[in-house]
Amino acid sequence: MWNKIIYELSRFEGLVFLFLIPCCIVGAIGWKQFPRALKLIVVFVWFDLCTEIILRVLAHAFKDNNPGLPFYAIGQMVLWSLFYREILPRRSVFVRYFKPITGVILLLIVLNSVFIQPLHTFCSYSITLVQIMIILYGIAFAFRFLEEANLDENLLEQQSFRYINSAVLLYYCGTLFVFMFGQFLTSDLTAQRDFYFLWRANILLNMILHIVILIILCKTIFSPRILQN
Amino acid sequence: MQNDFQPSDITKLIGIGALIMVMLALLVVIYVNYAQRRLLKQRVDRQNMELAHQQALVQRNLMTQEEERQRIAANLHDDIGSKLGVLHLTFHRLHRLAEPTPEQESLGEEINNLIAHTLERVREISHELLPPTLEDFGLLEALKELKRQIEKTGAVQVQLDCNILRSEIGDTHAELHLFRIVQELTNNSLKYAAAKQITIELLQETGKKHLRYRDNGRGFDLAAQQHKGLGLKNLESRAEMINANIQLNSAPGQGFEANLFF
Repeated sequence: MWNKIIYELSRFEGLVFLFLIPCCIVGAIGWKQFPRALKLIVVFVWFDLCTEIILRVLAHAFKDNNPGLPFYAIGQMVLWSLFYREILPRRSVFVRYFKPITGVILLLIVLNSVFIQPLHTFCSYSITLVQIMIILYGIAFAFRFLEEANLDENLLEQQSFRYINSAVLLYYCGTLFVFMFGQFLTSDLTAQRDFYFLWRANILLNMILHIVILIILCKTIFSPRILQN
Repeated sequence: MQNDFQPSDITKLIGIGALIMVMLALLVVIYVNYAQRRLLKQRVDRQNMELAHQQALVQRNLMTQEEERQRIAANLHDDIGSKLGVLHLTFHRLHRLAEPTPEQESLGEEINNLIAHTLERVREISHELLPPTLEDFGLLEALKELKRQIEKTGAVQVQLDCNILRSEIGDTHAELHLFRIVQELTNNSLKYAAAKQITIELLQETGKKHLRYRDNGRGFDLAAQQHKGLGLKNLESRAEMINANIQLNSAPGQGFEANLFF
């Protein structure tokens, strides 16, 4: 078993754990010091870690981890929506219609898994939909800053969210096409060769996201008084 | 017609698309960061201007207050004080001329005491408004007088240490503001802190003069007070008016300390 774990970690795909595991540890250590939005990020990294492990186990055990993907999409949608609901202004459309928007997207994911892309196929529509939503959240948050750079707000906290948002935009924009054409890339034998290159790019962007999250979590722990103001 | 489009071409297109998306995201991030920094800088500048304006208003207010104090003190001392003095003397003369009955004698004594008391109060008030010692003999003597006044109440011990000459302190303007700062601090120590011991040090240190004030009162949360305390704002404004740097330090149960470098 240990050989398998070491083999997994030594592969390029294993690099994703390099920053994900420290994120989870730091998140657990500093849990009490984090504001609500950062707590959601900690929940997200733990969810990410669990999903990574489960998807790998599924891939090894059943040679098919596609059934896990809709759940991953649902988890991502819920956690990022909750995170952006915390940091977006109250008057934002995404906050005002939080429940209907999230509800409709979740319903579409379920319907897609039932009727269009069954559990054993790559649910590219669901993942694309979730990614587009997260990108929209990210853009709404980024441009919100241009309207209201409020000096009264906790600047360090806002700066932290801005960095996380930048990493989120970078990751989800960069991997949008990879997941959008995921079904084609994984089913076509010729394309599969090149898919690994794209998949590595996805891992690289994922690592950047985790690095940013790790830095923000550490920064928050080491300057807790400023953040809790 | 043969389709030349191979799966590998589609993969390449996906790769290019992904790259473009990353570039776009980077552009958005860079633009937003840049624009936000500019916006924040503008707001900080505006807030600084507002602060400077407020500070100027407070300083103008303090100057007006000082001028008014000087005017009232002068009027009290020179006008009302001297007239009361004349009244006192005239009354004495009247008292000597007449042959008062015992009842008139007692009433006369009462009036005499009242005039003497009023004269004393006028002198005290005018000295409180502008201590003549400060004008005539400088800050060190004024502080000694303040120490005597405070200790007269018997509630507080004041320790005053100075290793500085009058000429080293600065002009009368600086002396006045330093005195007012100490006056404000002692008032706070007496009124709110219930201090038993106050230490005032006026020291000449390497290249800088240092006024250090400490009390052993109940202390307070400085961060909570800084938003509302007019007294503290006045201290800062006065310090700024003499180009001094003031540092306040206090915590509940740990007394209060102010350090002024000028």
